[in-house]
Amino acid sequence: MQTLVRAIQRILGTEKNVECSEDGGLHITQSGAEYEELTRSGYSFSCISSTTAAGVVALPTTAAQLSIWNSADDGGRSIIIDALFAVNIVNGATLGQAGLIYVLGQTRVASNAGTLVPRKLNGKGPGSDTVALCGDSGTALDAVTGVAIGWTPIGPSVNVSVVSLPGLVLWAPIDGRLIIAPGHLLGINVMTSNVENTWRAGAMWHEKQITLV
Amino acid sequence: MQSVINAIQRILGTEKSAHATESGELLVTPSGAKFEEITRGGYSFSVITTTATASLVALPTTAAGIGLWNSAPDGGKSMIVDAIFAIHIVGEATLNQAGLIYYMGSGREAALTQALIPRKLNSLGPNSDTVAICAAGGAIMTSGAATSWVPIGPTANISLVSTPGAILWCPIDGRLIIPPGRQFGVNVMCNDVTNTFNCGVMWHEKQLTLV
Repeated sequence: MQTLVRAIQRILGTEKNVECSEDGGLHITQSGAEYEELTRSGYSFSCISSTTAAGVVALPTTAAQLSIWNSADDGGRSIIIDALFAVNIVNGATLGQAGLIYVLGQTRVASNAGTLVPRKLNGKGPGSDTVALCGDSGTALDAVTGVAIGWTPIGPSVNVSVVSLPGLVLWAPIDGRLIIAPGHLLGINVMTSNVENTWRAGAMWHEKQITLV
Repeated sequence: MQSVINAIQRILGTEKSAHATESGELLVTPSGAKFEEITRGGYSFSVITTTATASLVALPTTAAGIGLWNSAPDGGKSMIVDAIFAIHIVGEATLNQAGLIYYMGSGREAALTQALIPRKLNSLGPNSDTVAICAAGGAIMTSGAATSWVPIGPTANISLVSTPGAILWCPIDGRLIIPPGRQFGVNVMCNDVTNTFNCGVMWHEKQLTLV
């Protein structure tokens, strides 16, 4: 049996056939921005470290500018990463370059006892009903998650054009490429040319009950 | 037969007809991040070399900074490339500019030597059920030729010599698919071979009919 799909024309309120291309591709148009529905639903959050810290000049192990631990029980909500970022607060007296790196733990580990308060991205208040515990810079990752071979670059690097001045922003859209399972930990840091360059690192994510396999 | 599509409104729980534009385009709204369902499914992986390799000042032939080989039998799972990347870890004494290049084999090729362990991007453990054989850098692209290496993604610059921090990152979003039996390589084209990079790949695996 075949069915011709019809829909109600917005505003006009009349029925119309949904159309397709010559080769059968269904024509669609987004009725919202890419993240609009996720943000609306109240489980989209952002958090940035509150302590400015130096970037690293070699791949770290347990050192992170920000860590996010999923406090849910096994089978509970997952943390789906939407973006990672960092802002350069103080710049050193030399030119240089910097880029984001992350490490995603592969096993359940102990809590990072994070105390940073995430903010809801729909503006409905901080820290409401999130499973994320966010550890500030200086909160070491556990030794199983924090291994040099696990740190991975992500997003483009940026360059300093004027010394001793801030203004660099690192921004990597993740779009769900990384998911923190219950009990697992994510660490974020900045790889840079000079430890005089200091940063605050952060993440945007949404939370959802999904079956990870 | 014609039917208007109805769906249940989230939260409200009431039935509502799907809407279209005046010209008949179905209106849709994503309810997940672009890669969320792919990552959830457990076949998304990432791997990066543990030893940096020298970048190239000319298009290579067989030399790759990292190599992947799809170990599936013909008709088996494909590897859909989501991103490729490289990081400059040890700085050298020259300023530089660098960009990613890749090689995609066009016929069944010999297996590479497994040396690197992929990590699952949904965090549920390393190396679970992947068809990828991930090899360290070297002269490993069996059929590689200068004409088969292709630039991809933006160039990055180093502003201060002898320091690390440059990252090359290129979202591929499925533009490249490694079929069973094919080799795939990533390398960095740069102005000075003294600059070394660790190269990596993100991908997911799926049973596809490639035609």
